Formats: sequence, C-alpha cells, structure tokens
Amino acid sequence: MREYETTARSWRPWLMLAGLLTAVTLAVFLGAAGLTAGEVWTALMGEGDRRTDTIISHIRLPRVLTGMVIGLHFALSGALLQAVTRNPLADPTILGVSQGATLAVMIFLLITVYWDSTDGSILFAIPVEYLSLVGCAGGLVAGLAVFLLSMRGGLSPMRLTLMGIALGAVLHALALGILAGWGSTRVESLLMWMSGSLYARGWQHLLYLLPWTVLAFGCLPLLRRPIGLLQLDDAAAASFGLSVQAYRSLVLAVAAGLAASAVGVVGPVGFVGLVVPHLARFLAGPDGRFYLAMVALLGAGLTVGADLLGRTIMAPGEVPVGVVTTLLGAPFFLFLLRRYG
Amino acid sequence: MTITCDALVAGYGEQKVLKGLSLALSPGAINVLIGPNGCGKSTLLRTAAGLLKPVSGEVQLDNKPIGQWPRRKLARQISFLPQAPVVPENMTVAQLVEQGRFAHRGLLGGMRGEDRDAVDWALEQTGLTAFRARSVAGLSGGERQRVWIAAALAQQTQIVLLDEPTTYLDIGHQLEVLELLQDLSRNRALTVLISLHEISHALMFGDRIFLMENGHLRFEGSPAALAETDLLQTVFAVEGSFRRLDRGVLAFLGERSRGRDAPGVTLAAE
Repeated sequence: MREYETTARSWRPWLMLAGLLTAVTLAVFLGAAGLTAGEVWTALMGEGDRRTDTIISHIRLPRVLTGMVIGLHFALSGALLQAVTRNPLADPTILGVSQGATLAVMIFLLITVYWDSTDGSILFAIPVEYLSLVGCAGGLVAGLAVFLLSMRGGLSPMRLTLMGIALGAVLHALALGILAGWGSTRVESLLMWMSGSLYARGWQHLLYLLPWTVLAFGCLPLLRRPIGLLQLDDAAAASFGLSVQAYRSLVLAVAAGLAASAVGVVGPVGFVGLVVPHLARFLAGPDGRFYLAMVALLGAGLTVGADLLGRTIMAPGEVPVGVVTTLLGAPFFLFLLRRYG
Repeated sequence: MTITCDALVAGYGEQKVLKGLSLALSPGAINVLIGPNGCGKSTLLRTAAGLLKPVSGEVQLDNKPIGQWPRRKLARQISFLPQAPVVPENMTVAQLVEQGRFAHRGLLGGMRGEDRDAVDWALEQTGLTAFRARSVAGLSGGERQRVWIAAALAQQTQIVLLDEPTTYLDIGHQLEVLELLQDLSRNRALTVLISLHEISHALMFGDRIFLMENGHLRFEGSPAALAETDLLQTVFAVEGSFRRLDRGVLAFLGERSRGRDAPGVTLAAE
C-alpha cells in the first residue's frame, strides 16, 4: 500500500525536470535578437558566426543559467524559511535580506560613483562587478542582525519573524530615503536593479552564485529531516532528539546565504520564494519525499520562464523578471491568503 | 535507569515555579503528578525532560546530570509529550509518528525495518492504523492527541513523560490511553511520569502518586497511603471523601469547594 503510494507520485519530479528543460530550451532559442532555431543550434555547437556566437554564448546562455540558479536560490530559501519560522507566508524578505542588500547597493553606488559628481553620463561607469558582492554582503549582514536580535528569545519563530519584519522595514525606509534624495537622472540604473533584472547577467554572476549553491546542496541532505522536526513545537522537536537551536541556526544560515547571493546578482525578485514552496507542496502531495527537489526544479523553471516572458513579450523592450514573477505570483498569493485566512 | 530530581529550583525568568523539589521516579511503574493549576506540574515535567534548565538543583538520568546528555542520546532514553503541541500544517499521521524515530535513524539513513516496525506498532497500539495516510491537521482533538502519543511510543524509550495527555480526550479514549500506558509499564517495564487532572484516574492507574502544591512536593506514595491523609482536601481546598470501588480501586469524590484563601474554614454561609 505504502509502496504503491510512493511510486504513484514518483513521476512528478520527472515532470518537473521535463518542465525545467522545456523552459530552458525555449529560453535559449527564443529572444529579442530574432535568431532562427538553426542559427542557435550551430552557435551551441560552436560553429556559429561571431554575432550569433556572442549572442548565444555570452548573453543568452549565461543569462538563462543565472536565471535558473537564482530561481533555485530564492525558492529553496523560501522553503527553508517557511519551515523554520512555521509561517506559510514567509519568504526571503522576512529576514531583511532583500532590504539589507538593496541598502548596501545604494550606499555603495552613492559613495563610489556619485560622490561629489553631478555628471549623469557616469551611469555607464557603474562598477557592476562589485554590485553582486556588495549586495550579498549587505543581505548577509541584515540576516545576521536579525539572527542576533532573535537570540535572546531563544530564536523562537515568532521573535525571528517580528525582528526580521522590523529590521527589514527600517532598512527599506533608509533605502527609500536615499532614493528620494537622489538626482533623478541617476535613479534609472538603481531602479532596474531594485525591480530584479536578469539583463546583462553573464558568466561572472554565475560564478558568484555557484559556491553558495554548492554549499547549500551540501547541507540540504543533512537538513531534510531536521526541517520536518522544526515544524513541530520546540519542546516536541527537542524531545524527539533534535538540537533545536543548532539546527534552526544552520537552516537560517543556509537560507540567508542562498537569498543574499541571489539578491546580490539580480536584485530582489518577488514571490518566487513565497509561492514556489506551496506549489511544490501541492504537487508533491502529502508524501513529502521529493519536496525540496521539487522546490529547486520549480523555482529554476518558473524563473527562467518568467524571464523569457519578460524579454520577449515586448521585445526589444524588456520587463524585469522580478516584475513578471510578482505579477504572476500575486494572484497565487491571494489564493493562499484565502486558504489560510 | 531512572530520573531523580534533587532540590530543583526552576521557572521562567524571575518567576520561580519549582521551589526546591526532590523526587525519584519508581522505575517500571506509573508515577502520577497531581496538584492544583499552576503548582508546577508542567515545569517539573519540562525540567525532568531536560528542556528547561534548572536555576539550581539537578535532574539526573542514570546518575549523570541531564544537561550533559547529548540530545539524540537522551531522546533514546526519554520521550516527552508536551501539553497541546502545535499541529504542523502539512503532515500525515504516519509522517508525524515517524518523527519519533529521529533519534534512532540519524540525519541521513532511511527508514530501516525496525523503524517501520516501531511506527506500525505505535499506530496499532493507539488504534490509528487506518489513519496513517490522513492529514494530522484534519483530525479531531482527541485523534491528534493519540497521534502525539503514538509518536512518543514510536520513540521506544524506557521512560515516558506526558503532560496531561488525556485533557482533550473523551472518557473512553482517556481510559484507553491510561490502560495502554499501564499495560506497557506492566509488560515492558516502561517508566511513566504523567500529570493528570482527573484525581480518580490518578488513584486508579497510579502506582505512585506525587502531590504538588505551589512548587513543593506535599506527598509521595501509593494511592492507598494518600487516602489515609486529608491532603487532597487541603491542597485542592475541597470537601470530599475517598470511596472504595470494586477490585479495591479507590476514587475520590469532591463534594464542595471551601474557598482557596481560607483552607480548612467552611464557607460563611453555612
């Protein structure tokens, strides 16, 4: 009976994988440059002319792969945070990670580029290569601050949530304050980052992300079972043999690392971390064996899909992926509210 | 292997709930904690389970301070069922009961034969075999309580601590749980420490009664020995008497409260 139930559902992760591959394939073959499928294929085989080769291997491929990895980061981070805060509406913003990253990026730009300068054209001289690292660092600092502020309450889910929301609000207000005092000609590049864009994301961004991805995948098998226990009362989890504080800290650290590195690269991408875990739960069914795998696959696939939609729907213009995920995710969010409200 | 508490002082922040309490559990027996609301039963159970660090004094398991036991090793010796635990959103009955195997399985290994056997056995003992694929969130209060008991049983420890496990159950299921615990303690030498509100159940199932009042232990001994005192009347501030039922079982019939502020004084209206 039990065996039957598990095999009946084991096709679902494969379906997810097929969905992800479809999204990735479409995302590689379709785009604003209007290449034919044949041209893309020869470029992929390494035999394309210089123009198609540049478009495919230096623009489109790294963008698709980066989209995949950040989607996976946000979705897994959301799943971990929902489990550890016992809050079905938690997502990476709940630790203040997104807000911390935004503020850090702003302060960085303010100091390095715009300090003592009124030249609007300097926009193009943004030190892009450092943005990801600065954003990541800002996000991690915010996450760490929330963690330390919650320590006194024994890292209770309630205290974590409240501290995260409070600190996040403060950081967000500071960021908006800086934005308001900013000359209007300079806002554009920042707004692009803040809306969560995969525009011009290349191989080096993927390199910033991958160490975190590898680290997280190393930890996940160790966290799978404790995550189940962390959804119970602290007392119940501890009496079942879990060192609650230690594992909660580890889960938070992994979640913060995943979210901060992703925010650093693309800016805050809304709703992936919130919605994907629920979608995965729905698809995985009550037997949650493939839950985390499904979260990763769905997060990657949906983000690539959303980015594809964003860059083709009004080509050559572009809708940032963060806007697309939010527009697609909001109705689902309302559905969730109805379900839990 | 048993739990001993020595001069325990414990509480939450400034407020001390246990005020220098010592006791030793009778191994292989049903030890029942009774006492008025707020006397420290839950605090004692949490401290004995190693979940609350005492301010002073010590809880020992197997002559070793409980704080020195690694969590997972401790969970193979003692299981603890808190009062009214939060029910997780997305778990089936079988999944929740499987959590009880955590201390035996470790972080990576799958469910082995003995783990499955323990889960099946626990579900069977609590009459939940047919419920295994149901969502815990969709069960009634009484059914959920049985799921938690099953999870504690699946842990297969020698010592089980339960904080008012019968509170949400109807009389039939209350007796079922208590009979199950009695059966396990008789046949498998399980040591049980259980807090109960129902005095008659304490007298009926308890091998040893611990009567608590205001953070202190007022009485320790058999139900029969308790019946020879008037401590129940004093501590709970009631008029009442013991009755002997069939098979020598004792019951206590509380008849009238007598005002907690003036123990021993009858109401002015009389």
